[in-house]
Amino acid sequence: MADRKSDPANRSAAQLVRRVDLSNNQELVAELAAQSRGEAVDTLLALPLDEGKVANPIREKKDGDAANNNVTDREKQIVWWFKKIQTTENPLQERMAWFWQTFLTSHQQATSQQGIGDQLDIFRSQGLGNFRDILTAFMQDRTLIIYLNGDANTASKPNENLARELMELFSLGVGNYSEDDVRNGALGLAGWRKYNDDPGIPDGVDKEGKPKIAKDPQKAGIRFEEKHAHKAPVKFLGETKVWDVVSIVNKVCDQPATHARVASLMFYHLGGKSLSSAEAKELGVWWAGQDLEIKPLVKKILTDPSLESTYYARPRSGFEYFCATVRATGRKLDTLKSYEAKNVGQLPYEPPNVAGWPDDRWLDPDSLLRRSNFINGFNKGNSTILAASTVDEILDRCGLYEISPTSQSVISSLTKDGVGDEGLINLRWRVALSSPEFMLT
Amino acid sequence: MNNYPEINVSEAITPEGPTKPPPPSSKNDAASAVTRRRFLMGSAASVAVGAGALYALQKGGTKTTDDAQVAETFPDTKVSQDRISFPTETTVGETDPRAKAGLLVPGDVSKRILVVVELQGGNDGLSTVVPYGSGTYYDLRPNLAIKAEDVLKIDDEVGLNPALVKIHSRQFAVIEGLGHVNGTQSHFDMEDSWHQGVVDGTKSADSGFLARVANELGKNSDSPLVAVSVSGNSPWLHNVEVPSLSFDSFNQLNLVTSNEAWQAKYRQALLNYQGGPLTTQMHESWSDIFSLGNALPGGDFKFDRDAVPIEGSKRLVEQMAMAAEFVKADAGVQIIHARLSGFDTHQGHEYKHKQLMAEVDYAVDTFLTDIAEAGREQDVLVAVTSEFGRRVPENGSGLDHGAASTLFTVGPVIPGRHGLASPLNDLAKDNLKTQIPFDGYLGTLAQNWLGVEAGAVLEGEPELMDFV
Repeated sequence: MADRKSDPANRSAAQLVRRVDLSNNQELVAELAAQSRGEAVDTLLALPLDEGKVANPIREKKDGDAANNNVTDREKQIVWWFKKIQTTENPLQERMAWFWQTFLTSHQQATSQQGIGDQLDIFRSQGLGNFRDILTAFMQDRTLIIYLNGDANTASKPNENLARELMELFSLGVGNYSEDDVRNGALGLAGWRKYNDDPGIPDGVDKEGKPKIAKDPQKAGIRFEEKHAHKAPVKFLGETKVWDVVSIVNKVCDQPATHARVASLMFYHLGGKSLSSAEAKELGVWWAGQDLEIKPLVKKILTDPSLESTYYARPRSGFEYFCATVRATGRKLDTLKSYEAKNVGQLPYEPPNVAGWPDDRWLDPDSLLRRSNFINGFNKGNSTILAASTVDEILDRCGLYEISPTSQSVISSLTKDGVGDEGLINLRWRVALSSPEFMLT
Repeated sequence: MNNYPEINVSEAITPEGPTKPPPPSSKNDAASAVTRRRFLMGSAASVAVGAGALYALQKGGTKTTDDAQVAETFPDTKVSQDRISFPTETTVGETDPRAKAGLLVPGDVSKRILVVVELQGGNDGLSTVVPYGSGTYYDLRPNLAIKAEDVLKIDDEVGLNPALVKIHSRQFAVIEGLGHVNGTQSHFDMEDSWHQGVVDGTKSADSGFLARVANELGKNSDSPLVAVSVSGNSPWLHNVEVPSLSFDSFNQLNLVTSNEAWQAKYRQALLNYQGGPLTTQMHESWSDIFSLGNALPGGDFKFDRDAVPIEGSKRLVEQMAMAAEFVKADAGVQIIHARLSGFDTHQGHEYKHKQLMAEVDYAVDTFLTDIAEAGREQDVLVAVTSEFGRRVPENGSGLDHGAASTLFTVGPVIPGRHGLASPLNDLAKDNLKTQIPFDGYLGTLAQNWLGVEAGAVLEGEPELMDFV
């Protein structure tokens, strides 16, 4: 594309696509470049939601299939989403599902299989709705509740883990609640228990020859049991009454600290800028005025003037890099595996801990080595990299409209000496995918 | 069977004088910690070392701790009244008793390497170091207990899992009664505790335990690479400040080690990228990566999975093979983290655990044989960890999450039994009670093995142990 450097509309549209579309679909750039930034954002926000649910092989499973192919089921759900990200007609929907997942965290090991898909369904269907709704649904999600010991939290024996993380990580942030709020919040959230209704299937015999029954952990779930709920009034965030999960979530959603924190997390994710506490507070107040509707906040962030002044503001995280590289290289989707994202250092539903993935790790030696290895795995068999051979073609496929003279020169000055014609194409791809511009967003 | 020289049990010196193990009793599971302690000392000496008279007794071990304070801080923890102490540094003119006994003696402290093998999922200590002398064990595990005749005996009470046959023929120590204080049944919480070296399950740290040890080692080392995870991203090394690498296949190091023409051009191109602050940060990272070249083993490493004559994932075998390359390269790596998962045996424990133990046995033995050929066996200690043990009573074909457990180390250790076994007739909600907070284990590895003061890398003052 000859006008890569000269046409500001292309550069602006390319940035918007980079921020919104995890797969960095370049077909969108031409369409959005004809519109102003505000119009382009409206176009993206108006796209109809993909209402399909995460593919869930367990729902179709028969009893005789036994319990122990966990990895396969989990794999199918994650890979279903990988492919959806690459093929969706509503990229903002999948982007927001990812944003919520990076901050409303859960770990796949905490649950039986269908839990991941159920939670992802919440993020995909409500990710552009209202924050109160998404947090309320999330706080009743099985994967989360089991992950943070909500199923061990009863009125007689409260477990504080879930209440603490609700306030520390999923809403207010540290310093905005007391230890009493944690204790009483746990009481308010008490009552969820695990169950396993599976009648079981024969599982061989024991040493005495008696038949054994194996229960399928995938048929386990959580349910609310009144007898384990706390029925007396307690004081939580300044108000004394009998609480439940909905009123607890509403209470934390009423707090200005929640508005400022969630809005600033979203600003960093979509806008690439860390807000000062004053800026965060101001944005939080504005968002509260929108009743915590998510679409207006997304539009405000994506049309913020600071985006136009800094095209590359933050590193692509591991998963963002993974998704963008799969699209750029034309990686064949039918053989895509979840471990490839894991090797890049960020597999959805496997955060290093409940606080999610640290933002400061994506340019460290470990991450860069992982990315280098990931892109070395692309070849003419599993991708379409040989279909783009010139520097311009490769930069177009990578969506690099704004590239520094240094980077342009590093890629353009590669020669075929010692590597041959095909080797040069491979090399150009690796060097382009390792460029600062492709590492950043 | 065991290759250690036999000694007469009566030569073992204890505060009460010579002791010998009581006969195995089917229903007598040592209710008294003191009585049990005496027995343990006798049995530890009897198993392994031919120089019992050289043991010195010291209250509190190598590092004394106020027992009353420990008891107050850790109400569930029994504090041993006395402890065998083994000289960890040999002064001029003395000979390490291990040498007299024909055993491995630790090499120079600056050359020592710690290999942490993490058994992820909660390894069942009772199936690893089997209390075959206990009737209670057989009562609580009518289907899953390992038959006494199959156990690889350590003494008249306990022995190793039958699949640990090669480790049993090596120099090893078992450490009993290790666990959390205020622990939970959550894998994540308890893994976090171990990874962060924080024994109190209600607390946390913002860095990994091995990261802090590596940072301390880095102060006295100009090595281009201090710590390595051969099991991929390692929370043990979280927030490490000295050069470290995490990867799970040697192929991932090709960028650094390969001499192919395109790789050389690629490396040069990466270093040629320049620009703003984020690009500078990237440039520094690439420079760091390429500077590791000299610390990495040569590029001809190949792992042939098909040639490994065991069942199972073989993942640990491959990791330990990579670990051996770093040991043999002798370029300053002092910490290696390897990991085998699959120990969460809620169902089908018997088959799964046996297979896992066989992989541990094969992987560790092959590794130690490999490094011994390079003359490094005196420098390397393999220490096993796991987030928790498993429930004592069985549950169908499996075992649920538990608490305290038994771990083991292989290398130039003081062989035999260490720590304090959690009594099987005194359970907390069917779980073994913590006798030794696990930071004592980690602190011992840091201080007595790597020469990093435990207090510099762990909160408080964990009571150190005597296995190294």
